[in-house]
Amino acid sequence: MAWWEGMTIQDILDEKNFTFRMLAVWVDDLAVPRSDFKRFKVPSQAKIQVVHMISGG
Amino acid sequence: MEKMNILKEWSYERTPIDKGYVRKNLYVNVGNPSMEVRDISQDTIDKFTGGRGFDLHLLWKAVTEDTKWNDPENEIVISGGPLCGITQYPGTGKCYAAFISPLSDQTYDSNSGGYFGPLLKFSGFDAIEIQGKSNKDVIVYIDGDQGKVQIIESTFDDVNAYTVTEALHEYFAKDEADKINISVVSAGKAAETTRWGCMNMSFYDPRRKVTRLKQAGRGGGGTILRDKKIVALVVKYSNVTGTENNPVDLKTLQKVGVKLHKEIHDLDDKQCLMRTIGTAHLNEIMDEYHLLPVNNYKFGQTPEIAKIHSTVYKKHFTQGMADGCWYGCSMACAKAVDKFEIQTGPCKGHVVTVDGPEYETVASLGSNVGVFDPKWTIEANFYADHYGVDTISLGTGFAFVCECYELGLITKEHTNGLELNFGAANDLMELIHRIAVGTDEFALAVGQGIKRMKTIFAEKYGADKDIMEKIGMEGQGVETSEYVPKESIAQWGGYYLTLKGPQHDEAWLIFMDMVNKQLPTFEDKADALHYFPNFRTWFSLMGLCKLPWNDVEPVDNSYRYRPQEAAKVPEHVQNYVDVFNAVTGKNIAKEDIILQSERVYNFQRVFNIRMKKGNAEHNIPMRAMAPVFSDEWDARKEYYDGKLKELGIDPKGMPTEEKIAKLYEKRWEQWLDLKKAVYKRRGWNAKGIPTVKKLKELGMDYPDVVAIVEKYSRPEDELE
Amino acid sequence: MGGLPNINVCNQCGACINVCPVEALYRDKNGVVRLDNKKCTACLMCVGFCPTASMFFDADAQPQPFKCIACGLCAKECPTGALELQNG
Repeated sequence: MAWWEGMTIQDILDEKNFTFRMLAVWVDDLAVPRSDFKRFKVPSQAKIQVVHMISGG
Repeated sequence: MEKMNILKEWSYERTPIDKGYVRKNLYVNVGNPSMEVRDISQDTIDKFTGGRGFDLHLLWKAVTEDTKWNDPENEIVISGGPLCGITQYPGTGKCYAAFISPLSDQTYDSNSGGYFGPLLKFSGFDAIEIQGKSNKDVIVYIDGDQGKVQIIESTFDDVNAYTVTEALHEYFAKDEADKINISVVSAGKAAETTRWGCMNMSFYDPRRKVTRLKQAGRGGGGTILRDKKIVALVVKYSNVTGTENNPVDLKTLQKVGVKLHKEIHDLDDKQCLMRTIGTAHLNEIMDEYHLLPVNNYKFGQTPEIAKIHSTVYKKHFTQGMADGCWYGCSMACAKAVDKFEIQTGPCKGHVVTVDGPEYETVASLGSNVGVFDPKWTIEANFYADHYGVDTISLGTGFAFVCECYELGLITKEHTNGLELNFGAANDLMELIHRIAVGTDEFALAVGQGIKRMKTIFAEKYGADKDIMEKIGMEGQGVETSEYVPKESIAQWGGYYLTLKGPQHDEAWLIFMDMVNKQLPTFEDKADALHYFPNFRTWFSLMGLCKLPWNDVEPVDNSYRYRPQEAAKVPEHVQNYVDVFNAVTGKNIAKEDIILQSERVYNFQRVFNIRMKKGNAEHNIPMRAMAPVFSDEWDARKEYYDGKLKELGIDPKGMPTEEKIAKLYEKRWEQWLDLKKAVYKRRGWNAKGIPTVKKLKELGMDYPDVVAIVEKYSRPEDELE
Repeated sequence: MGGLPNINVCNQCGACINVCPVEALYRDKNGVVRLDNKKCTACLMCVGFCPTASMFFDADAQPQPFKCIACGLCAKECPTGALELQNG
């Protein structure tokens, strides 16, 4: 997806409509705590992994 | 309630529990009234561990390959496991019931909360087997305080669950405070008229002053209970102290338990909201990811989601109650609707407490039948429990009926006047009542389950069998539970490559596969379809509820571990290892969990091969894998066109019906590849029969087990 | 906490009362929150849910947890008057 200056993890989640509460995010293989999603600015060309922690059933 | 006649009574000496095991099981025959206390050998403990393992081991010996579900020698076997009944860790009161199922004609294992499992164990029995068929309605009563087992002549005219449960808690308790020491297993009228009978298992709520019902819902266990003319199983054991299991290391148990209680206290409000909304917190989440079944799994999303949003349900659930279904469960997800006035049927006007709805009921008796009215769902939930029928089977079964009606495969003449379109709330509720009354021919046909409905509708009503095969969401004769599997290849396996049928307690892989894309290759999927069923099987051997495993996670779980590892919630897995060792005095490691499970898992597969005479085929309907009709494709046109392109087919200018056919053709090939990869990973042959090599590896190469494998295996089916 | 010693003392808030599945926790006639050991199932949820971490447990002593019963002995013993029993 297209990057912009100042883009945070939360911005990415909003764009992808990932609303699940128990998400885990890695930016360039660095794990980012949930409490930092709104603050953490994602660098350009970064590899982002978003994992939904399964529960259910 | 007037005194009931005791037909037979036996005394026994109660053996106390030693490090999680009694090493005794109770055998009761209600046909030829007899009772035996049987020993459980060390070998049984070593190989079958407990719970579901014990159930299957005992059931194997009780039946022959020709036993039908309604033969007297079919058994209902109920067992908790070595951790069942501890109180220090959340979710430790579960038991499993196993039997030859009226739906699948092979083994089914069904789990339940409530107090029955623990109180049975405290009364001196790791398991109970019920065999035989009575010629009149009876109640089996186990008095763990006095060391007595009784077969009592039932005087109940109304055998429905709430009636029976409330009355029997009253009957066997010496006063109000004594009611918590009793648990009642019951079914109801619809368990007599359908193959979908559930077994309710009760506990008494001292604050609400009502009996509450959990269910061993699936597989038709309640149908067998009523077929044996059992109205209820009752157990009584007083003065639970929390140390009945005589654990080796109470200190560690307490330490780990307090850690989890604190974790749930601190984090549940920010995570899964189990204490406030229970499993119904999932409603809008499933909808967002196209996983909520709508109109018989046609769609995964609905514009009506706001009506069934978790916050709407939250308003119905009384907040701040101690809602664990066994002592010490701080996950407390057993939500209830209080002071609910029933609008229809024989209980009309009654003001009741309804247990649930759980997510599965919100979806099955809700979105899946096109009804988006929580009050309707709550009432349907009430009657399903009261009449003794499983909500998942009922809802998914009704969803099939509605679609058949919408497609004109069955008509108003066939349904005896009911207009069963999706969303036909009044007529669907009326159908529930007609099923329980049991005189309406159509209602009785519906209660046979989807697999048999297809045959009945074709033969009696001329309905198109091919279409029904595509849309009937059953696997191995069992109705599918409430997640849309079509867009996750791993979940096709998670539902349709299971031991018992499409029930989500084996493997729930949708997010891992579809959303997280963590299972890109068939080998990855096969590996997950080996690990997760085996991991989750462990809970069934132990007496554990799986929700505290991953419906709460430590704060650092998501960044301390790599994604694949984090999904397993490693710290909690270690908790379970510590708890197991603290109770039993054993010294297992995480890796041993899979081995304990794999033994039972493979044994159960051979058991099913035995009952199906070598042909325990894994079937999957088209609707579970792909859109069937144009409206389903068009609801997500861009998405599905994209899926065709991914598979190397250009959808431009293609009529929708052709696109549907082409996608399904490709996906069918993927299904066959998946099945092969999974069977191979599990150590099975091409027909899904475990190899002798695999059995030997696991130490499960008992002569009679190997005999089944050798009888039905052919050299050409080998996969290696 | 800034190098000062601290002890956890139950302030009789009663948050534990609702958490107990068997209603073993109750307020006595003096308003003190008490635990009825005979009813207790030793689940320790009250320990995990206490807002001031003032419910204690020690398996060597007994399976059930234990708490301050406002007997006042500690206040009597304290040489500096740092502890006192308060009403209400």
